[in-house]
Amino acid sequence: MTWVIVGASAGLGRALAEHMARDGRSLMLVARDERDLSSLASDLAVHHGTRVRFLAQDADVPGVLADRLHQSLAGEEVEGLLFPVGTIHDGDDGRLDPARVHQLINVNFTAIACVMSRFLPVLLAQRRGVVIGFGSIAAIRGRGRNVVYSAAKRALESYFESLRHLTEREGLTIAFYVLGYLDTGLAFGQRLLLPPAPPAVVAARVCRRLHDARGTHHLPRYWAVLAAVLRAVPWWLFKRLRF
Amino acid sequence: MVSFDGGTRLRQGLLRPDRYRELEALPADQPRIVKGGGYSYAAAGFGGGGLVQDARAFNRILAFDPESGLLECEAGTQLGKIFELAAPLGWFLPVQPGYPRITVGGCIAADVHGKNQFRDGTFRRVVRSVRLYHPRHGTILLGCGDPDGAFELTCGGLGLTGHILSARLQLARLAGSRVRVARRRIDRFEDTLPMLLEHAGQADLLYTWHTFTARGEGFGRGFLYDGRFIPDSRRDDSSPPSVVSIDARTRRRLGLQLLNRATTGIFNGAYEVWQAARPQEHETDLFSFLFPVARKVLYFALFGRRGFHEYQMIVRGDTFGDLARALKAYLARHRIPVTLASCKLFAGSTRYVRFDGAGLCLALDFPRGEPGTRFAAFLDGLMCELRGIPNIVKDSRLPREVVAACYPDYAAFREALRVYDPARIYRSEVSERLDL
Repeated sequence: MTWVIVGASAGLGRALAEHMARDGRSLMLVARDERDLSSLASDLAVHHGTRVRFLAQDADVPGVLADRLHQSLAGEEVEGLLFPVGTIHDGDDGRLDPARVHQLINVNFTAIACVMSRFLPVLLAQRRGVVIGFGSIAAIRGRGRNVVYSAAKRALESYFESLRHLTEREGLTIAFYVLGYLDTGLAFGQRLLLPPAPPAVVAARVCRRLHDARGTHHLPRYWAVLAAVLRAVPWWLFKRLRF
Repeated sequence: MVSFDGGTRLRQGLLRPDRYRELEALPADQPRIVKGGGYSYAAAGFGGGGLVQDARAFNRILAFDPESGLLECEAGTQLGKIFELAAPLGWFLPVQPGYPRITVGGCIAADVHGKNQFRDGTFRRVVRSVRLYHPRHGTILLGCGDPDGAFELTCGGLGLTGHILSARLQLARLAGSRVRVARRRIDRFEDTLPMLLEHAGQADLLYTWHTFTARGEGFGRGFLYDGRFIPDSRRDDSSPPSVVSIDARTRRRLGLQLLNRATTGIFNGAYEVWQAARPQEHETDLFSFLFPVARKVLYFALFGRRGFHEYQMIVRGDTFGDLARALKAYLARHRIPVTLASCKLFAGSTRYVRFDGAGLCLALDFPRGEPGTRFAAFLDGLMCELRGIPNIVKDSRLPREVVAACYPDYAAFREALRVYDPARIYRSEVSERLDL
């Protein structure tokens, strides 16, 4: 029984891999750079003795990623797929060049949809399995600072809602976590309104409820309150906010 | 960023890469320096006018062979992580400093010493190979067999030859999992060297403690500690104790400099009485033996925000008497609150700017301030006069002239660095101050 982590080489993905390896789970790690994956897989195998495989593939080519991952796990039972994958670009203010726009949408949304298009039939045939997606508080309200990124993350949230609706009676667990500030490379050096949460803490929370966290959740939890407040802010006020 | 001793404070651009491609993303001519755990007393991991790359995310164990004890890890790996993996399997790093959050890369760059340098040498002795990245050379593998290659330049090279990515280390078999430490009285500072020589061949841990606040005949009296593994002692299966964070930030919390002229005599006296009251022999667990500083945050915190000086030096055996007399005379005239005076025995030879050589290694701690700075300058003069070696990574103010005078290979190291990297893109406050 294998768990797939797409976006496993750093940040939350790496923290999830470390936590799940500690729990003795067999892993398939996916990320862009073989050097990062190889190092992480070795570390997890040395420390925990678990079976850790990896696939080096850029999520910017979603179809290839989905096909290669599907081939790698052909005939195997898949326990679950986690998608802590994502990227941001400086200058995502609506004027990015098309190649970068494609990359943002591919990595943050299309890659996940493509991988699921390959693995959903597998999970449905098994009549069991876990799928976990990760969104961002940047997608709660559209804002001028992350135009394409927040659109892609909001699409992802909608996609997971649809996935949950689709598989409601099929025995699958579909969960979506809206993440607040995390102490990862994406947030490092930025002026943040609140302290970033350590990825290991967030990973522990996700892993604690791997099989029963259906629906949408916020991590850290207090972001649920902040998100509700932010949604309630009237447009005349929201348009004046700079964050 | 602040050096561990509090002597250097700089604002500087900091990067925190966590993927290999990010290491290569900087323009090739961008000046930079790599930061490990940040426990160098001098600013070896920042300064220099470029960017700082925090390497702590690269902290993975790449391979470990429990049969041979050969371990390969990324350079950001902390010593405590190696301990947690290797000790239950009967292995340990025979050369390592006393704080578990120090990184392997830092140990290589500073060529640190451990519990008994006289017998075990410096960290370089356990390094079999190093994988190094430099924009000019790409990623290169440096083996320990080449006496004139970049390996020699990198071990003890203060991080100036490039970004140490990973290293293969030869661990040693644990003779036991508990250590028996015997204490011997030292009546006079001058007796230290012969007593250390008497114990050096067998001890797994060997150091002395002295009080430098006592006056007259009692000056420098203290204790010698000889620790040895208890063969086949049973492993303590409880998880390692928690490590207390030590850095300039934790020191700043206290604010005041509580170790000062008024209190240090009491502090040293209390320690001496406490030690004398303990049994002559005691047992300690492996973690406390390897990482004695892990829970001693209070000692460093007592120096407050201003920080402290540590002056660590190696003097030849035949000049130790002169050193002892000079220190006694100076400290009789000036009431410098020396909070720590500790000796170890060293063997080996000095090459490049490595803190290595044959003789006695003495470390002195004292509060930062005007009298302390004058005392450090006095010690500089003493090192030049006695042809001793001051430790570059333990002193954030050590002047270039002193290093140039004391290290016979200073010019050779400087020249070799320039041949290896004419643009000298790896720079730190230390390299700039010492004109390396």
